[in-house]
Amino acid sequence: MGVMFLEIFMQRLGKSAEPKVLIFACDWCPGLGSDRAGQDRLSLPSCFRLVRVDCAAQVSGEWVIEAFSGGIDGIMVMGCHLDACRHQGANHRAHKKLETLRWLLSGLGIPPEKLCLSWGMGREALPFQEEVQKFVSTLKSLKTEKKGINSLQRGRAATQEITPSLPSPLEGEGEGGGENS
Amino acid sequence: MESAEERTKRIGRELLESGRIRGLLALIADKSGVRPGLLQKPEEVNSLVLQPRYLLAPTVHTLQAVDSKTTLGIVARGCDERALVELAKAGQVDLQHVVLIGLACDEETARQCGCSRPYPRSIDVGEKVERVGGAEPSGETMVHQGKQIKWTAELARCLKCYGCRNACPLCICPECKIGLDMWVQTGVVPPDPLSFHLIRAYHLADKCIDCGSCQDACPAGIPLRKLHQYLLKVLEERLAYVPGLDANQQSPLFTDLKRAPFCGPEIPRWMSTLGGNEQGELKGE
Repeated sequence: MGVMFLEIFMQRLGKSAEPKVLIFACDWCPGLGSDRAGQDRLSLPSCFRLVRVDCAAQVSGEWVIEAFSGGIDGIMVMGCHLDACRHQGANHRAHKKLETLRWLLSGLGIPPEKLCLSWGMGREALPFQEEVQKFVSTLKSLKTEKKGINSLQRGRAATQEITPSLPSPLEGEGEGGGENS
Repeated sequence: MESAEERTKRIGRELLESGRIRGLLALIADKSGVRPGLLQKPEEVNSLVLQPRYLLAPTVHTLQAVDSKTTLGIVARGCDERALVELAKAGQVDLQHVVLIGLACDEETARQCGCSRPYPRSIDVGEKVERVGGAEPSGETMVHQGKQIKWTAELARCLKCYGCRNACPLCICPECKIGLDMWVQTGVVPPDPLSFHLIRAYHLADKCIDCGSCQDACPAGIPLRKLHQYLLKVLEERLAYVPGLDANQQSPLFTDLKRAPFCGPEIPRWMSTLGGNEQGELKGE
């Protein structure tokens, strides 16, 4: 993933999408669920983009962290029912790893509701619609946060504001030298 | 009544003379100061010292990467032993070829460090002292010098020197993710705190042994240890796992929910409907 892909997603989401949601759905259960939701023309919020992965366990913590810092408001990781992962129960491990990530984020003040883990959809269109709608409304109710937490999320913007502009040691040797010596 | 240092020297000399170990990793004092070193002859052991607290376990990993069949001795504190156990779990260190001289930290060192177990499993030198200081007893680990930590302000001082990563005994990945431009942008200082520190804390979630090398190495004085201690505490509560104790115990993040379930106050309701047979085996496992 990384910065480049994130920029493409942010462009595709568009400036008006609020809240910005990124969904990682595995090819099997939730992928089929989302396809069926599309076929049945169910009404879904327009502020998400869906990324298909082979297995939800493919989603590593770095992707989630990078997405949050790049400005995504909420992330959903959707995989198969817990006993039904075709990759030898990898969704169990994915759940534990992403749950650990949720605990870490909540320790730093990022609300744990921003990362949603959902297991099991299996060609069921209505649960998919329900999950996405529920998540979007949870995120909307989280919008009233203090500025402090938001500044940790928009990591890039925040660091550019707080990095002080130090004078280079090479320029201004005549003027600056007096203060530093 | 021999001092701890004399006792360590005696044990070291005996191990070298008997040929059980080819070299002893310990701190050496010479005219340029104190440094870690590999003592190979019994007479060299005279320059061994025990202070300050310095983690020698990473050197075992480096030496074994070159030659893993030669038996080494190491003067190991509690943290050294925990680091070696975690490295052995990851298959990076062969504990069969390492002989530990177990050194229990004295009260002063234990208080400065504040870790939860300032002694190794089998103690050869020193008196066992239980945990002194460290995380506040009320359970609030995100408190530093009496005040709640403001992470945005603290992490803004980061120089991206990679000192924390280099000093950590468990940061051994040849291709470190936070060294890649894909995750941590080159040329941006301070680094995006989420990318750098969170990725590191997340990767070390089930491996950190609370040795404090990261915080000691940080030139900006960021209380990094608190971040890791928080996650370790959560892992202990919710997954009943403490890294560094048993080399045969696999991390719960690598096993399914039947063998290593969530525990603690908020077990999700659906956990009770997990399938599997009586032995807890899932199909396909």
